[in-house]
Amino acid sequence: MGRTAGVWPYLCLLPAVLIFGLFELVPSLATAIFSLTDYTGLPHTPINWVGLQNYHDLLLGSRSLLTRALQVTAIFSVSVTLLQNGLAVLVAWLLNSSYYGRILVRSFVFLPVVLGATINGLVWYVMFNPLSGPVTLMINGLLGVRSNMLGSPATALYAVIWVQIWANLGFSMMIFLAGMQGIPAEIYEAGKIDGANAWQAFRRLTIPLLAPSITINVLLAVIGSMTTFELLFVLTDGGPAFSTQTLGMFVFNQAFYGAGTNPGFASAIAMVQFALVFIVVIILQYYLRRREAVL
Amino acid sequence: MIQGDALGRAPARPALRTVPIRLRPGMSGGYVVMLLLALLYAIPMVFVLFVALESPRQFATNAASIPDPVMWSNVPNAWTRGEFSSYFVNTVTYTLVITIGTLVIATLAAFPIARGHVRGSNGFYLLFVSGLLLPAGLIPQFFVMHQLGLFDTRIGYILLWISRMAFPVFVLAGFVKGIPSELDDAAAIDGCGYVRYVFQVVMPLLKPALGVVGLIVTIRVWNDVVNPVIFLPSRAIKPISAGLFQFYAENTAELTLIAAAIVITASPLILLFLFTQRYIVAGLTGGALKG
Repeated sequence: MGRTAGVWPYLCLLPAVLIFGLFELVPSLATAIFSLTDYTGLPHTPINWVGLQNYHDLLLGSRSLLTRALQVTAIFSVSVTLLQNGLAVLVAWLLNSSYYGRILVRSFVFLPVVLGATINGLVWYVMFNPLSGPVTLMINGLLGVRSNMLGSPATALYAVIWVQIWANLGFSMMIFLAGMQGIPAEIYEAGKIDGANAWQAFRRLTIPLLAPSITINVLLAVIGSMTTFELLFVLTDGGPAFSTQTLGMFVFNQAFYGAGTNPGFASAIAMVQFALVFIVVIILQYYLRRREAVL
Repeated sequence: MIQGDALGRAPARPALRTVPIRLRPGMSGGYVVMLLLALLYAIPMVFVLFVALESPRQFATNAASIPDPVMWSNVPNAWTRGEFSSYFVNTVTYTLVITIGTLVIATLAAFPIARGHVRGSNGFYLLFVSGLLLPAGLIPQFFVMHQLGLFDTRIGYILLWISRMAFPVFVLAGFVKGIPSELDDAAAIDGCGYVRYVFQVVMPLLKPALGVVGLIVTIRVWNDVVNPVIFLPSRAIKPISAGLFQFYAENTAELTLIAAAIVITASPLILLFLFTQRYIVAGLTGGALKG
């Protein structure tokens, strides 16, 4: 069919290449170019080359916002990656059993993945509300303090970390479940004959054999948590007092939202963010693959 | 293991025999953890549902209980005040056009790529799949939209979404390889045109894959809030999640109405999830596993 079809295969490919190239691929790469300009985002305003000025301002100028964003990103990413994957592997282990109702519980845990950032964010906005939110009342009952989790710079980051994990646990869990279901039952039977109890089987058989799923889940969580900002945008928009402004949120706020936006400068932040994600992923990938090979 | 425990104890405690499931020691603990987990996910949902049907007065004094009186009017109130009918029409339109557009354009590209009907098909494949890894270029996209006069237009938003070809092409190209190429040859001998072949033979055979990709695109468009905030400032053409966010931003203190608006936005998604859960899970996690 291909040899006789002449120009038709190319014509079929054309719309996809045009749309993908113009709106997705080229913009993705062009962030590097925009980071060297004073692009204001206003139409009909000339764009000028400024060389490395944006990087100079970002890295050598008043650095407080960048430093703050790096700190917040580090805390956010490390907590989310470790807790989300640690909990997900335990939850998957629990729900990979023969318990009655396990399918239903899986659905419950997965539901937020479908509901998306706006709904999840606002559900927890209601849960955290200082007037009568259950979380507020619980903290009030336990500690005797009136809390405003999302409104206070001391606690907002922990609150958004919690919501991020709650919202994405189901995704990691499903990947771990798929990995666990790929482990042959004979291995567990052999373990049982050797006298392994349930916990030993989990620790010595499931976890090592799950290494490929762990690699995927950790990488996805690291990339996701270092770049995501949808949920943060809905919950806090980086506030209060920049206490939840991760790099992703920083880029978005500098580029589009709030007063004094500066997309050229934001492009430079996006490039720094990309470089960081790239380095972290390369190192992690090396470490995780080597770990897979050893096991 | 359950059997062993039960056999050991059965003679001494015959009453247990009537209990259909016998728990081994660790098992009841597992049920407790599972129950806690279910509650962790059910409580926020149920609480929002309660708040959505409460009077502001009950919300201030006794929010975490069954609504009394049940304020059914919250839902229509939120609906009219938030102009949700417009958001609904917009979202359904966007979702349909974007999903169908994505599936048609991605299939038309995936078929020649997977079959090697174009020169450099491997290069094209890598080009599309690279989109799975590249970061979104929101700022240059903003520039492109302005330059082409597509900023704040329906068609601009639709094109922006259709351009997210990486995942659809990746999945569909994989499935095209599962269609025997003898079928292509037979069709060519019968004089079937190339484009007609893709539409009338390939697409029906790809139905399961198209269904899964379509579901994922539908969910992503329904949940999109950031792109409308950037690219669709006009209220009249906003889709629903951005509309929900707008409603929240304008009524931050009226939590009973916000909760009602959450219920309005979430209900169609929950219904979709109930009926298509298996395919959604396969689509969302499968893409990650193969990638």
